[in-house]
Amino acid sequence: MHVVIIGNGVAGVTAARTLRELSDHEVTIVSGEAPYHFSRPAMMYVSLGQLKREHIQPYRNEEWDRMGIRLVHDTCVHIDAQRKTCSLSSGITMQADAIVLATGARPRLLETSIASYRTVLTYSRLSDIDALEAAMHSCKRAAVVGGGLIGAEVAEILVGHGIPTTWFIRESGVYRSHLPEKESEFLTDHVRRRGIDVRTNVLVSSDEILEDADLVVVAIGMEPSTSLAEQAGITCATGIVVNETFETSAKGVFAVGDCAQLPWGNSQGWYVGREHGATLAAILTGQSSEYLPSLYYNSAKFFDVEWQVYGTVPRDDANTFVWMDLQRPRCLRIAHTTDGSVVGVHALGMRLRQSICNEWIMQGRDEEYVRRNIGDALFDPQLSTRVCL
Amino acid sequence: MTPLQITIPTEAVNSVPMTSSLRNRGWQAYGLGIILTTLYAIVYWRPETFGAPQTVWFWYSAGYTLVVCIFGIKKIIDYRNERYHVLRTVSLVAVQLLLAFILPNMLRHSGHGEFYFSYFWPLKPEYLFPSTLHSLIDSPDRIRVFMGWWSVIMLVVATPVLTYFYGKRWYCSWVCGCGALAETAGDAFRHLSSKSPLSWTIERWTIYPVLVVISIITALLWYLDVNPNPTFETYVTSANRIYGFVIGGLFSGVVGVGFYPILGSRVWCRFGCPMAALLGLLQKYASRFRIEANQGQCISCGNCSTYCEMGIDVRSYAQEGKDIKRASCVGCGVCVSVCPRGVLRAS
Repeated sequence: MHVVIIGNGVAGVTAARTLRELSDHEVTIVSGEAPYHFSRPAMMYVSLGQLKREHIQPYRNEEWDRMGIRLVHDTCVHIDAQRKTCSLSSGITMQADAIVLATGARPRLLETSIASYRTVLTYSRLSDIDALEAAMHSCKRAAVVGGGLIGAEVAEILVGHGIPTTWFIRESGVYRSHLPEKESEFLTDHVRRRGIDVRTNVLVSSDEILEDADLVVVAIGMEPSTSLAEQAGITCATGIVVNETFETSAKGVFAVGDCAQLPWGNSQGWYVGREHGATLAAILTGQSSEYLPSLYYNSAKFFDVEWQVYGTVPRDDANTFVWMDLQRPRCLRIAHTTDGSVVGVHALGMRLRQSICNEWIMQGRDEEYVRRNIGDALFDPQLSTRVCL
Repeated sequence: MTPLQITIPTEAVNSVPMTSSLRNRGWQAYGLGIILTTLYAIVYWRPETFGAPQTVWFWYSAGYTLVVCIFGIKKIIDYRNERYHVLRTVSLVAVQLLLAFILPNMLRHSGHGEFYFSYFWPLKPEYLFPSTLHSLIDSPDRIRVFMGWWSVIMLVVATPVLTYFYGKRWYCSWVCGCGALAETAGDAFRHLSSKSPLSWTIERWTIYPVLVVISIITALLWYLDVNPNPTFETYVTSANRIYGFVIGGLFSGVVGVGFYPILGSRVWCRFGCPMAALLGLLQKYASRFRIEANQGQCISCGNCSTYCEMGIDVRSYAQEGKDIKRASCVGCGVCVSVCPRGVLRAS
């Protein structure tokens, strides 16, 4: 069987690698963006000058051959969902037995028209590293629009290069769309201390709001890339509509990662994409019958403050235990049901052990037990300051 | 463009961009490499160029200690938010200053004989040679007797016990003088270590033979101590002299330090040091030490691999959620610090 995967992000690549591990299927990955898979969340370290481009490739170039995965550096311009063919921009047509769409997501753009003297960029594709670097050379003042993770990354890059930066956030604080108020406030303060002019509760509805910024980076969210699927007549809503086996409305065509919309919705990110890829490979090789998402987890870093979440943590303070260290920038939140069993853990500035957090949440341990045994879940480097709740 | 001022805890890794000429094998790096190599070649082989060998060696060791102190302070400032690095740098600087500079010179001046309490066989092979041990343990001077027993007990008892509990880092990243220079002055060059599978192969084919050679020389000297044979002894002594020239001089000094800006800071520790080989075997087969990976948290960013001074491709383990247990790991803990997602933990 020949499986053609469109997109070499983490979802597509994990699908390819797992397929090769579990079967002898012929696997081809097509990507116009980059010749080799790279870690998208690591782009910021290249922009910061902390890593070089080759460092953010998780596998050595020669390993693809060893894994038996064929890489095609070309853009797929059209797929035929019935005949299972993929047409590439070079004119080549590939015949597949199954097509996996792992086309990812593309940045949402501002609806406001922006004055032409400002450079407007987004930050999600590999080529954006070069575009941002070029723009930073002549930049006197920058604006970042959007209070999410990419906004935070770009703000850190700009400030790291000594560029005065204003950060416009629609909500009341940094990452408020996902974080409870206390944590968001804490991060907003932290980021301000790093020299960023954070403007909260501001919707960039007109060009004047951006003041004298000559570089504007828009980071107001990502939407699933569905154009290839739509052209092929595959059903799309927010994303490419798939069932619990990642199959689209066209038989033999699958979608995983940021572009896919499962029956319960579209979810984006590195960990989700990786899980989609691995599960799809298991389904295609008959090792698994359907996708059951594992316990939710995510992580990020805001300057030097790491963030981790396991399970479900509501954005309000009902049924939660919150601990804030007065000496150093760190805090912990334990969310539980009304009868006390833990449903989620949230940590800023401290590292938690995933296996233990998962175990506690799955077993529904009560909040007091978790607090008393929090030492077991700490994953901070040795000799770090202790945590006592 | 303005120089980078990055505010992650490992500022040392970033204060001068890795793309600069000095840190990216540019002309500045080669210039510095040539100067260091020449300096080492003269100090090791032609000390009389600068004056009486004894004096040259004193000033060399004073300069070495000074460099460790200055860059040690810089490192402590740069890594001030990470207690592990602060403490281990304090330890490295203190050991170098007290045990490897002040105390040996005091002992020499007071007639007890120069002795380094921070070096053991096989890094300092003569400390287990029969001639040395006889002159120490059979001496009427109780301080010399102590030195002799110190050498033996540190190697036979302390080394396996400490390595069992803490891994080889107790020595390589907390005590050793070569480690002290690599971790302070060499910190800016740590990313230059090669991560290719080929260099891992070369590493195994160079470091273990060095340990084998020095073990054989030591064993033969003890055999000769019991069964004297003057002709055979001349062979063993010249073998030891060649070892001293090639390994002790050329490898550890000229290449080991001189090539910092080209091959990274731990070339000697990785490819040549017999102590590292011995500790590595203990670490791999008789130690609790490992670097834990936090299940599925890895984002494959590559910071850990890039900044591993021993050239371990840490990411290849971390992204599979596998713990890292490698003989070469000196437990410097930098992969743990540069990880942006809390994936790694030395334990």
